Amino acid sequence: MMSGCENAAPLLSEYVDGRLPAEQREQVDRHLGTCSACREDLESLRATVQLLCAMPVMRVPRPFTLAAPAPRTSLLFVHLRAATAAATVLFALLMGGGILVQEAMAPFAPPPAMLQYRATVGTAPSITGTPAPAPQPLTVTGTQQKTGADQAMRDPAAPATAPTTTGPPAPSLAYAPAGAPAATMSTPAPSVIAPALPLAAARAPTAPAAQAPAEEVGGERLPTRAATPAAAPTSTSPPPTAPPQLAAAPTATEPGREAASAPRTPEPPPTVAPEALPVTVGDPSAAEWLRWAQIATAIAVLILAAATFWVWRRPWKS
Amino acid sequence: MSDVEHPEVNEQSLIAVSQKGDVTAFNRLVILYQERVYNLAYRMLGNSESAADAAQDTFVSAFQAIKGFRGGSFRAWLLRIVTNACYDQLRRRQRQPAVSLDGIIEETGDVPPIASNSPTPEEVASRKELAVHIQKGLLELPPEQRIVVALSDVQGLSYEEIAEVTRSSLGTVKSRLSRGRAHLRDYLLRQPELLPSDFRHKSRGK
Repeated sequence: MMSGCENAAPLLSEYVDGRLPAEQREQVDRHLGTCSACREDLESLRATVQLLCAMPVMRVPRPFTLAAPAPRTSLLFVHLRAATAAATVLFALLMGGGILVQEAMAPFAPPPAMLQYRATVGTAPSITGTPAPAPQPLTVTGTQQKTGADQAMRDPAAPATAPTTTGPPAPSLAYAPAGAPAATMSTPAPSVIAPALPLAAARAPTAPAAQAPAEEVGGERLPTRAATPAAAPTSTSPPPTAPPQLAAAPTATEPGREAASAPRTPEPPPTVAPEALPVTVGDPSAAEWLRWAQIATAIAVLILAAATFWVWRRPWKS
Repeated sequence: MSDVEHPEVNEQSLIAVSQKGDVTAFNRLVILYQERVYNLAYRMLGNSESAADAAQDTFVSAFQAIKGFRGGSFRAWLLRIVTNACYDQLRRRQRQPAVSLDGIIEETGDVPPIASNSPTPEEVASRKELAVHIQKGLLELPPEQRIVVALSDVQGLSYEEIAEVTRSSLGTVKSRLSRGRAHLRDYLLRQPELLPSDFRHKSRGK
């Protein structure tokens, strides 16, 4: 079946290795006996194989052993690094979110305050009962100022009975941030401020204990407020002049807010004016919570970063 | 070099312990095989730096994958990883052809002389020169032929083992080996002055 060189040539390699089946081997032998060219090929092929077998063994330039702790630590390192990155991202979000919230809070109250606010706006007339609970908790946790703000928010509905004249100023007070409002207020309506501050102070102490009850009994609070407003009403009348200033301050921070607040302002104004002073209370609690979260996250980032660095350095020592 | 003996039992136990993540046990396997691994990489790449990189990659990959080793020939399993590492290096080199082939081959001049009974300085020099020449010839082969020739004639593997390492059929191994050897022989004969005088007259079996 095979007589030509073209048949024998591809088998010479196996022939050299002694891997040809007997039958094929005999055929190759037969061909080699008659073909000197193929005999030469076979010998040169065999010599090539022998040269390859005699190739020098290269010395290993360096040991390729693995660093013992490397694999395990590297895994730990990867996880730590991921955790650090996650904590950093969380921290950045909290910081960014904090800024947003602060801006948002100027016009609105903190998240809880917002709830109250909506309630008051939507249900303003009947609100007193429902809205009161939500705001109360906020005020309690937050600073006195906040509580005042919250109250103002829901008060609108309750105070409905109060004079409408103060309408414009009251809303502005509610918007104003905790710190700012007090200052602005003082300038426009001194008489009003005086009552407001005392109220705030008085509430602060009572607030803690009152919190739980407050939530349950929206109505209860209202009465107290009503009392305070009652005194205020007189002061409320002067506020009209003050309102413009107040309004300006809030607008600067957040124009959109004003629009939103505008609707509710009309209703609450009367009672709001007096209560407005304490108003901003809800915000502090949220802001404080945020601040603590930021601090905690920052600490976590630092600890994780330190651990990551430590783990990263260690494997190389060993 | 291809005939280094490894006590099978010892190797099996080292593998078993390594599979539990024991780096120390694995490193003993590294020591057993690093010369073989590095030399195969060197024959495939013709460059000590690339070969060292490929060898290191091989052992790192091997340690990561050893849990998946299901018995059989550990040597073939490991050499398969080297082969892949070499292909990776070749691909990398293709992407950055900054290194000239000549530059690569020059480094082959570092080849230590074959351990021999009493080599004269001339013999050492000519052997070194011949080794460089053969290495150049190997690098002329297509990689799929080069790996088979290196595994068979430098590493001394059987056809069956080569088929296992390269994941190809016996027929493929045989034909690649046949063509690779023939190409290399033709390459060497182009500069017969570098070849031993008895190149054409050797009759010793392999």
